[in-house]
Amino acid sequence: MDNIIITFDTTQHAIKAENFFINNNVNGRIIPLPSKIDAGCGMCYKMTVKEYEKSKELINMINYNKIYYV
Amino acid sequence: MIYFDNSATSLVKPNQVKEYMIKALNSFGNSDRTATTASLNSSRMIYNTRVLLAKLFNIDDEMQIAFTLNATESLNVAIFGAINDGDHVITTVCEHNSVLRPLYQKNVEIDFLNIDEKGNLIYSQLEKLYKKNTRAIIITHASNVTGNITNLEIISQFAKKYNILLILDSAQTVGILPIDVKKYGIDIMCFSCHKGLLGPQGVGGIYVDKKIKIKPLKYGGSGSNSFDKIQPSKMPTILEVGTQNAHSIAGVYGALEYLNQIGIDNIYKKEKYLAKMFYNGVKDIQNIKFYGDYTCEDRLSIVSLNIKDADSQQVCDILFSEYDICTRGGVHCAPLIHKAFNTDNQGIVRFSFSHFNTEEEIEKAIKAVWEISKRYG
Repeated sequence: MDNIIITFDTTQHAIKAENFFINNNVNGRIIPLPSKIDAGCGMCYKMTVKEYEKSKELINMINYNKIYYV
Repeated sequence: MIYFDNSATSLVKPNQVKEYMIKALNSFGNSDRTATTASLNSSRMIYNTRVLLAKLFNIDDEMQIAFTLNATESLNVAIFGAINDGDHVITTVCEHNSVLRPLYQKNVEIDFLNIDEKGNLIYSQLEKLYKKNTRAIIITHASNVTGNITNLEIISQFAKKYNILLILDSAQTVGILPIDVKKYGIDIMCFSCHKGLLGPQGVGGIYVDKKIKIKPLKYGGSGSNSFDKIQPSKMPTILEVGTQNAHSIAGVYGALEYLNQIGIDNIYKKEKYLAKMFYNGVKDIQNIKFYGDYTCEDRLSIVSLNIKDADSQQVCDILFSEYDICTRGGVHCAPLIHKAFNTDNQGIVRFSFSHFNTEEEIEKAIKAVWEISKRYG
């Protein structure tokens, strides 16, 4: 599994996280929430496992729901 | 046309408002629905506007602000979502129907804080109004009829002392007066974006403190958790149902950018200057009567008056049809303050100014009021 996705309570929290990641040079992008995780639509943030490992400290500063390896 | 009805809505909008709206109309998909550029353009603009509003009101978490249609909808959300049947609510005779009518629909006890002859709230009566089941004080930050500003220091201390919710209607003051949600311990704040904030019509907002479990007024699509039968419980999604007015929210972003450039303190100073100039120009008319406290330095740029016993609507129409001056007569959707002033039949002619107005416009209005007053002996 090369990537992780981060899920959020609301779609606006995903946008907030994106903003934070851009400002802190964490690479990744917002994608539609994969149906296998939750079939109820929504958005999440995808990045490589490598980026995640590098940026763990920063990621822990944001308000997210769960992290999945995909 | 000379426009002095800015308490109803601001007519002149900063160029940024139009520029952001045009850009939005050309590039926005449906916000928070998917991760395409079109959808994200809209989602990002909504988020960025939330951030600017949070900064303006000193709110720690911008997610506690939800967009609504207007201040009226926000007040409906507050009253139906945070007040329970059987609760007691303290409010004031200065309130707009956007507070009064939702309250009348609820099975709650209501007590009203009165005003003196200048329209100032009689704060010494507050203590007497408290009851064991008082849930909240719902109060306007400034009267839309007199322009008198509420002393939030006193209201805040009262709410804190009895541990009741402070629900503020800041429809008239956002973008003009500084509002510090943290300093005053405001639990819910309801505001519009098209008056002092100078944004387009069709957007308002509500701030809800994290400790309050607000119930939604509307139910529907949220862009997430679609198989749940209930609305997602988190702010802002719990209150933002269906497609948001992202095009207008982009206009609000432009307006906030403008306000930050100019500084709301400068806007307030200019508006106060114009209102004072107008007041000083007409105060010596023999048959004129004013409503509000004009001895107070800090007040909104509203001058409310009547000429003898002339119907306010008639004076309003003369101002418009003969002088091309837009004002507002009648009762301004605030029936109780008119009862207190005994103007429920006559109404009041309200002049409300913008910093975009000019001294030349004020001079024309002064001349017009002098001329009209002569007709009524």
